[in-house]
Amino acid sequence: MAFTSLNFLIFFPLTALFYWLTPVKYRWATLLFASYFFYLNTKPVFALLLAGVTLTTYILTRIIDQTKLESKKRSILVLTVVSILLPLLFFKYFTVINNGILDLLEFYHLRWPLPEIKFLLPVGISFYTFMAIGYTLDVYNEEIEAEKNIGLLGLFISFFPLILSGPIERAKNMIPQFKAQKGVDYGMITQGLKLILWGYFMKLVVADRLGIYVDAVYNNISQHNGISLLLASIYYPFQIYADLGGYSLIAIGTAKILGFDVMQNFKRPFFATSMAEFWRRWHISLISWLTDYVYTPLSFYFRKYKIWGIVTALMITFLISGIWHGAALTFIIWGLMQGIFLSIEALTNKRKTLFEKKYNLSNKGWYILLGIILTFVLFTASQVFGRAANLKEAFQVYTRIFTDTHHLPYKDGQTMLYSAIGLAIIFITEFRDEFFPRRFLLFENKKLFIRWLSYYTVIFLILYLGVFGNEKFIYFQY
Amino acid sequence: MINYIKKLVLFSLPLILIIIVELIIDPYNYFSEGKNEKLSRLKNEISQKDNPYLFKLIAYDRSPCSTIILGDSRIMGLKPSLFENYSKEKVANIAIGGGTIQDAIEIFNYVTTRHTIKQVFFGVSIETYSGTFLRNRAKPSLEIKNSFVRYLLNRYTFSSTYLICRSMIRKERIDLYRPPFAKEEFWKNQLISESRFLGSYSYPTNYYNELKKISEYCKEKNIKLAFIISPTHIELQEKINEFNLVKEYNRFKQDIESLGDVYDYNYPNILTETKNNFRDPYHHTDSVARIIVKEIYTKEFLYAKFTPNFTINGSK
Repeated sequence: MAFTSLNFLIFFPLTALFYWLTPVKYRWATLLFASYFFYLNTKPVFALLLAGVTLTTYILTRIIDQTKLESKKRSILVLTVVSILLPLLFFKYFTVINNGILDLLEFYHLRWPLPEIKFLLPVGISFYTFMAIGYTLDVYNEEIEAEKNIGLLGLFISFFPLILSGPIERAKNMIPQFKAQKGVDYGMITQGLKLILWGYFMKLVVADRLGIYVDAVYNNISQHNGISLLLASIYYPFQIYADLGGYSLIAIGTAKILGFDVMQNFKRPFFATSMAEFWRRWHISLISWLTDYVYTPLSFYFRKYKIWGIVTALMITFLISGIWHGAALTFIIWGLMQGIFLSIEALTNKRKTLFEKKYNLSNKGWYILLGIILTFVLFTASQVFGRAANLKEAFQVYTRIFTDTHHLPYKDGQTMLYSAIGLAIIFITEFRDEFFPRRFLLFENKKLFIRWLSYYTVIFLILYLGVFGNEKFIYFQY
Repeated sequence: MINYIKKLVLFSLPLILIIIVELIIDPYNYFSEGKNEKLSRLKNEISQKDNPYLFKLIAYDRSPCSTIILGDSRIMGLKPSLFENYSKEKVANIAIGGGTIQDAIEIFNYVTTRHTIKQVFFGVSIETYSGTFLRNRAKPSLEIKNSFVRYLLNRYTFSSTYLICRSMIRKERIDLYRPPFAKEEFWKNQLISESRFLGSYSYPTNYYNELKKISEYCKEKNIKLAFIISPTHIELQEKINEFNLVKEYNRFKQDIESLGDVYDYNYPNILTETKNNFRDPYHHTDSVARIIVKEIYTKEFLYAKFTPNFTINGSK
């Protein structure tokens, strides 16, 4: 059940109503039931997998919690993490590994007992696996106690606003909120509705509109010239931002209506002036998860190598990020590219800071703009690997952008115009939030007339310029 | 809580009012075929132009027929009544102005999953058979058609309702998409605009593959599949030379000849050389439409280059 489906628009108000009508003590049970009902709508059999991951996490983390001997505790931790990871590894990478072996052996005229097998990836598995692992590591590190109520742990892992595409939340933030007994907070409901409205705008008006052009070009690369490919490649980062950013806002807004605060997932990433800053603003929940559970332990482990230890930790972290995104060489290269960009920044950081101080650059408008543009160019260049179907196509895109300008580009006037309107609105609001926070407010304006007018404007923009019928979010595939 | 609900209701009031007016006007005859003649005329004038796919598909679903015509404005000029004179069966023309092959494929797939058809005429041209002519307006229209909530909450229902109401209140005639030029000026303008299509032409592997699937489906289901290349004025045909696309044009014809019967009117002949046979370089007049339909049904070809496809059942 996607957030943009009609089913969700019926499901969510009913769930919220039942939730508020349930006695406070049992509200978590209503949410757990609603979450499983929500997930069962994707493919019922995968709910068993979700329940299996929850049960495994529950039993093993309880054992970790009760184990005193460090070596034994560590062994159980490894067992838990492997057990939680196994379904993800199997569904996401089995086909790729199997086909790889099949191709390799066929090349040498040898037989492999397993034929070509394709598994459907359970929706949200990458997200709830990371949430379960994060919980396990927090229990192991004694940051939280293992949850005694399996229902509450089950709710944390399956919480319907977050299960399909995050944000990847932490147990220490969510479980205490599930336990807290709160009344209806109308302020939070209003805030939630505003976030949902803006999320729908980002998804339906911007992401899905840009997607028309991007898909038309990237799905038929050979039919398009360099300019079209360049344009589609520039559109794609905005599309993915509006898609996952929009989804995250709807998720956060939905949780807020139910009375829960969920972490922010994006913070105006295209205003970042360096790749390091970009990754502090983009898909924050994933990056902070990777930072806490992968990068920090690794950089600690490699600390004796100083800056090269950091570089190694960065490369491994982003390699994992690439593999998490998809079982394909394109994603591995994508991850490595991020690692390389960040490593270069880490290696040159001191000299860059000195240079900026010497010429007093950090406050100069043109220097900030240059940083923003350079960061965008680097990210856009790497996203070609994120979007192309395979390596061959990715290299074809790069080559043709510079060589194939023999005919006019593909133009879809309506799509391009509506995309431009949507992007301009997002740019203006984010520019305001970045450089003039708390000024020129619309949704938060004190005057009711301005607030309502801005709500209605966004509603009409969604109805007028939105693309409906596409119930898929890009991150469902990850 | 009561105050909060009151506020929510008050906020929703304008939207509720709009929906009520849309329900009353029902600009695309979604809920029923209106009996009010004046309103029906306005719907034909406004809604049909605002979203022709939505209008035509709702009408088609209400009274489906076994022969359909798909394509762009050129083939739209072949009125169903002309076909019905010969076939003695109802014919639906679901072509629209600016329609792409993607649109036609989408509609073909929709129609064939819901209704039984015996014959389909695809209007094609080098302009539409291009890898960069990919607009898809049929899909969103089908989505609106398939859900009454979407029908009530979409821009076409809203804008058509608004225009119909405006026309009724102000008693004015609303003519959507009428070119703001005299014939001569429009003619020149259309010739210049051809560069939009030919200047960005690329071979449409995707269309060829999808049309091939349709051709195979037609063979399997015994549906007659024919392509019509409508006549365009000679000045427009010359643009193919101008843009060095002769090889591509021949490949286009070879492709469609491998898929179904082809009626080709788009080559230099007395019909395409006479300016009076055209409203503009792309669009022939009604008298030419009569000739085309007559030739298709009588198989007495004066102007068409007819290439039968011998791989299709019943097409010989």
